[in-house]
Amino acid sequence: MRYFAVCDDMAAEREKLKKLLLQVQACERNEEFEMIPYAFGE
Amino acid sequence: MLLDLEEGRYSFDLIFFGYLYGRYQWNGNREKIRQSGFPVPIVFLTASADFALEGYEVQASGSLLKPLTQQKLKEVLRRLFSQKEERRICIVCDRRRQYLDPDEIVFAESQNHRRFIYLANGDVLSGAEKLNHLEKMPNPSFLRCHQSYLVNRNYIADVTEGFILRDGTVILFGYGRIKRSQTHITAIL
Repeated sequence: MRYFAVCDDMAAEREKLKKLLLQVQACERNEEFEMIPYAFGE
Repeated sequence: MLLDLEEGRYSFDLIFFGYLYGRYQWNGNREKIRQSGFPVPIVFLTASADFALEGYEVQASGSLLKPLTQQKLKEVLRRLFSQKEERRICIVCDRRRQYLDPDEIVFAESQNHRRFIYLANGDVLSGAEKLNHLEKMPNPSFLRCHQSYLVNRNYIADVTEGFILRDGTVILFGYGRIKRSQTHITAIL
């Protein structure tokens, strides 16, 4: 499992990146990703 | 996020950092992350090529220009993680092989024919291998400042009569190694 922090104030941008990461995960057989979202200052 | 890092709630493999504000704010956050003692790669997400260049100025591990695509993301992940896999080193601890990223090692100590490796997450790995084994590995980050100590230069906060590490640990220079250490200090500064 790989853990990614995503620090972006815009929820839409965080959601977009999450979707893309899930698409990449689906292509990479042995990889599992978990995204932890943050806004600036959190 | 910094609190999660400091309290060890997560050990991130990568931080994606959306670039919205000015250079100052970015630099401040980056420094805080670096000072927290976690050498995590950071990738800038930006809508402008100008900001992407700033990412290189502050030595981010990479920049992704919006709009993001699956291909761009794949490439940056492959580049970062394949580099990481290649850099792993093999350590034998109590007859078990462990593969470590050298960035996780803060310093190594030799004591009473035992070798102790102190990791950034607080773990200590003991084994019978000599420090020379670690020193000879193809990694430029380790500095031998004492017969019994090997220090990862990425964790050095200050230099006085020895190396002062970010967590306050002091590793004194060994007799006869001061001149060689001065060369190391020059390399660090």
